[in-house]
Amino acid sequence: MLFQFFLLRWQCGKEETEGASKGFSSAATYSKPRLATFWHYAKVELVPPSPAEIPQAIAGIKNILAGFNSGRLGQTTVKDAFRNGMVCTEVLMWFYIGECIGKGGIVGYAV
Amino acid sequence: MFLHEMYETSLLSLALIKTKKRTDLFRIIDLICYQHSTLACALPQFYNSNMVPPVVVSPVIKTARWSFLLIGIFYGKQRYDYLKPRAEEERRVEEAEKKIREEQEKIAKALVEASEDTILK
Repeated sequence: MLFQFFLLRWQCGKEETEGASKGFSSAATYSKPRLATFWHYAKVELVPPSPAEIPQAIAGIKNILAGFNSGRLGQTTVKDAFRNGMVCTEVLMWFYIGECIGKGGIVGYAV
Repeated sequence: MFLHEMYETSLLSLALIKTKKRTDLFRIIDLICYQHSTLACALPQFYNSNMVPPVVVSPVIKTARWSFLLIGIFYGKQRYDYLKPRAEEERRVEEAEKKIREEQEKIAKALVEASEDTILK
């Protein structure tokens, strides 16, 4: 039904060549609640670590290393190992996203 | 309840199409979009608990993500600055070589044309 409304909008817009800016207002009203849900999750999940959390992170990494040395990590189940592998992959991919930002393009260096 | 309002506004929009009042029609469509978007998102979904509460991410993962992001930005910038002068140099060298090559080709072609024995010139 939403598609039909946008189709109607588009068809009306075709006949009016001057009022092109009106198309954005309906897009804004459509995306505002979605933006709200995005912010609702991003405020908790995507926020950078506060200065208090960085020592915790270092302690956590030391914990992992200790577990690796003691052999405790060999006891993880396949399910847990798979889940941890997925999380590690996602964390590593942020490096490539940063690289894309740094080089100013998605594919290749624009030299 | 929402469906009834949408039905009303859609009837109104159809009536407005006939009268060809464009600005009113745009306003009605904005209203429909807003109604549908509030239907689809925002509070009712949270009350019906279809959306999960946000996950509290562990500090290890948070620092790892952001540090990789920053390292990646830094690396991308460094690599770009390293590659840019080299690419320009290579382009310059390529231009010069291409010019020399074209000169030689022109000379070779002129020689070939001069030495062929045809009367069809």
